Amino acid sequence: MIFNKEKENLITTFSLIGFTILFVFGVDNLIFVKNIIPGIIELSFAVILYINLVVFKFIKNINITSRIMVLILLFSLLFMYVNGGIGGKTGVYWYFTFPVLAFFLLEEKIGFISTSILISSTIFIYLFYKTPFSFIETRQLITALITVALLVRYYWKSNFFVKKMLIHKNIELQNYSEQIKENELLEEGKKREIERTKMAMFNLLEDARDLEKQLTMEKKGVEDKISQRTKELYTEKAKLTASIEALAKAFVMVDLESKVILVNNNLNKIFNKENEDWTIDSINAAFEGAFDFKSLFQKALKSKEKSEYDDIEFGSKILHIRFSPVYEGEEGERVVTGALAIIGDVTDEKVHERSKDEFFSIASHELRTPLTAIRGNTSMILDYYKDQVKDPELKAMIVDTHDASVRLIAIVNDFLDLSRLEQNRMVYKIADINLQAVTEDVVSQLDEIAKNKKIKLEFNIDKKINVMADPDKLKQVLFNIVGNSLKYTEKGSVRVSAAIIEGFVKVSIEDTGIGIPLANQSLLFRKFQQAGSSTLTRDAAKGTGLGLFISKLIVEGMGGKISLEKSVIGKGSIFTFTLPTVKLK
Amino acid sequence: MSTKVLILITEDDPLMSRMYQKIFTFEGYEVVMAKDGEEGLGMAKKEKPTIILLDVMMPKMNGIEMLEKLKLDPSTKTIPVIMLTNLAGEKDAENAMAKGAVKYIVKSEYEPKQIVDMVKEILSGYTRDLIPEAK
Repeated sequence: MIFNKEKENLITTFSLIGFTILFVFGVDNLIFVKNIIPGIIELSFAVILYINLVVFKFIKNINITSRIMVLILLFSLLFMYVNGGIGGKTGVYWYFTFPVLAFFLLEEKIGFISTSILISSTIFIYLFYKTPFSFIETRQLITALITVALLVRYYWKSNFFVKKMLIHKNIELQNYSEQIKENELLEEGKKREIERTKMAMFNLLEDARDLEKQLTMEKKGVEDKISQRTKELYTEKAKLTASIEALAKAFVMVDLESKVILVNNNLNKIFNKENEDWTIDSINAAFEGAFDFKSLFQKALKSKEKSEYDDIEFGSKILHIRFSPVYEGEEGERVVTGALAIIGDVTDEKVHERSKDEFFSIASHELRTPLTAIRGNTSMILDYYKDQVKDPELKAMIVDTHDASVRLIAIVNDFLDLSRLEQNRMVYKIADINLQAVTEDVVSQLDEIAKNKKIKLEFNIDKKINVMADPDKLKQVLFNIVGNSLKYTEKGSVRVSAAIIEGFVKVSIEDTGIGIPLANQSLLFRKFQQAGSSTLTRDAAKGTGLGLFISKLIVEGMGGKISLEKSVIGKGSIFTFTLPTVKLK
Repeated sequence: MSTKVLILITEDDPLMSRMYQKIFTFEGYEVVMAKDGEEGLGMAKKEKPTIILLDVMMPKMNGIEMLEKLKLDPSTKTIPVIMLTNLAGEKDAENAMAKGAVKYIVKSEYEPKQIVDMVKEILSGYTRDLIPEAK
């Protein structure tokens, strides 16, 4: 680029100077000296240079224009050498501009070749062609040409190399500076990176410190938690121990190998021992054969089921023992890890229970005895002293006395039943019994009353129907309900029927009695309720009003339900109760 | 009637003993009375009654104890014993039946006549010819 720019300037300058000089010389030769041929040649050169200048301006290709120029100049110089120059022999001086031009304008090689051609052509012309120049002149010309050429060449070359070197250095410098810049950038980057790394390291250190702090805190937290948990555990344990100790019963826990892991002090109390180190064998021995503790406990442990043993008489004590498996783990995947036994000294309770039982028994016994005497004696008077009791008034009084005693006995019985039912002390001896047989029995007992009132008392029960019930209690219920129906029916009938509905037998007692007002229906199965009566309007003839309430409790106690299915005033009522056909768990 | 039926009534309450003595006498039975378990046991051994009506709650020796003793003695253990009481507890009844009584009767539930009928029925199960005729 630099070269080209220089070449460009040079070519322009050279062409312009050459054109100006040759144009002036040519015009001078043609007009003033009247030297026509040299004048034309000089003008032609001037024109060529001008054209070259113009072409160069347009084409802008240095190589082409310079080659054309060199070529033209080469031949015109040779022409001058052949003809003896323009205007005398002076024209050959132009020779000396040639290498300058050739070397400057052209590549080194072309300059060298074209100079060589010029020299060899001149020698050739001198030797084999005619020239006005003498040997001396030719020798001087060639020597001068070579000298100039060498001069120009070496000057140019050194200049070129300096320049080239400079340029190269420049480029190198540039590269270097770029590299430096790059390096700087790189370094900057590195520096930044280092800075960043430093920061990162710093941060890391900070983080590490934070982490450590956090770890310390966490550790402390965990420690706190553990100590809290431990505390909680201790609290729980304390609670548990307190609870176990506070139990009114003896507590024994064993692991899967039947090794005793926990007992409470009550165990000592039960066996009248102190600080005994209990094992399953020593507990078993302490029972002195009253209870097979070890094998039953192990059985409970093995079967993983709860079991209970009541009324174990141990010396003067009555014990109740309950075995239960100990589970661990979440719901669903619980594992038996042992078993526990709870031994209760229920002597006092049993005594209390018995005394309560005794109280009711004795109370009813003591009430019944005089009542039985009244009942028995009055009935005996009526049976065996008919002759003496002829006065109907007297007889009626005796009958009333008798009936009163019977009613009182019923009331005593009701109260006794009620107290048992309400304290859940009623014992049901559930058995698979035939409903028809029981009904028949009850109906036959009530038949006399029905006959007296001229009411049809009948039952229609499939012989195959069996129920799970206590026969005496079932009789009592039937007696109550059928008896009630008879009481409240003046004419018509009382029917007992049964049907099986989904595992239950439904017994229906249908009467054509007076019916129960709707308002009183809900009160029917309550204590001391007689449908349709307030305290002051009680129907004295109808008993205590406990019958249906007792029946309800009994039926429910046997797993059934009792209800008034339907009642229409003046038309009658239907009472029903259900009982299971299969044993309920 | 070849042999007279002898009934031993062991009953501490005079109201009851008088009443049952009367009815069984009215019904043609021969009756001996005892007012507690001890006396009853002695009478049973001495008199060898056909049947024993035994109250439960009595002084000195109660009916259940007497029953146990009767059943232990070979000379009395074949005599049928009817518990005649006003104790209506089921456990008492079960207990008595388990110890060898043939029936458990709650006095208040029956007229004296009905009790006589029950005794008759039980005796008929033992020896048909021992049923006395009513006066």
